[in-house]
Amino acid sequence: MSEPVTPFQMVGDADAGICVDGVCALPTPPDPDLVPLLRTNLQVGSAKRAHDWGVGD
Amino acid sequence: MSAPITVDIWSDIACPWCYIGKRKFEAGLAEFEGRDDVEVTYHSYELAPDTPVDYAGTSVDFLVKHKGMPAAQVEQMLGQVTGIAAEVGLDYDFDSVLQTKTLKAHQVLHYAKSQGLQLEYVERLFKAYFEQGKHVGRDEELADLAAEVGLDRDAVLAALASGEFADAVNADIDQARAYGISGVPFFVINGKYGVSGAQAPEAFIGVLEKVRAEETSDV
Repeated sequence: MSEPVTPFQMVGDADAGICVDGVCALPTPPDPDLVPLLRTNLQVGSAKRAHDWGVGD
Repeated sequence: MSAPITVDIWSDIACPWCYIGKRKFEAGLAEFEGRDDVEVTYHSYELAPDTPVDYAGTSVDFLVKHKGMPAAQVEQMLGQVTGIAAEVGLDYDFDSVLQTKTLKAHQVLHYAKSQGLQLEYVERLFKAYFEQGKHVGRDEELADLAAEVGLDRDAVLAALASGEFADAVNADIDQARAYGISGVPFFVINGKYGVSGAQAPEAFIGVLEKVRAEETSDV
């Protein structure tokens, strides 16, 4: 997951739990059991996040 | 005497990571030596503005019908979030959550801010929503919860009826958009540093200490 593009200096881990567009992604990195869930979340939330998590195209 | 450190938090009552993030931030703040000089302000963000005030269904129903997610995966996700919430002392009960539009709750949060009770009210709203299955989208229930933290119930109802704080809510949402904030919780420390998501307490301690060190070096 990449940091949002904001005017701020971003600090902290990039994979913290966050809610986007009504869907709340899990903070854990992808593992085989969770990939389908993450894919669904990320498709709803952000295609870019899917790419960053390595579960997209 | 040093200037206070400001922490501006964009969050939504219906955001499970926001309540978890609140607890983690508070844990970090508690460990920060200069905690008495930190000013915290909550800002409005509507995570799902298309939610009806009276949604007839569960959290699972909402995500399945409104977000197109498979029920089994939603249940798994909510179960995992519930487990993470428990790790920070929160007792999430998604079976009892009443999905609702949070716009009016945000208006009352601004009223509470004007009365110096915003932090008390935001905590009351989160607890009501995630742990107690209370409705946080209707005037009467919002006023009841406001009264519990010492706000004037009639004044809350009057503020909601007049829409006195609607502009303040919209300004927060517009500001989030201008900042490029795409998800919540989102913390802005002293107008300089951004913290996205429910980060570990150590992340908040680190940035607060960094800000304090910078202030000291500027003197």
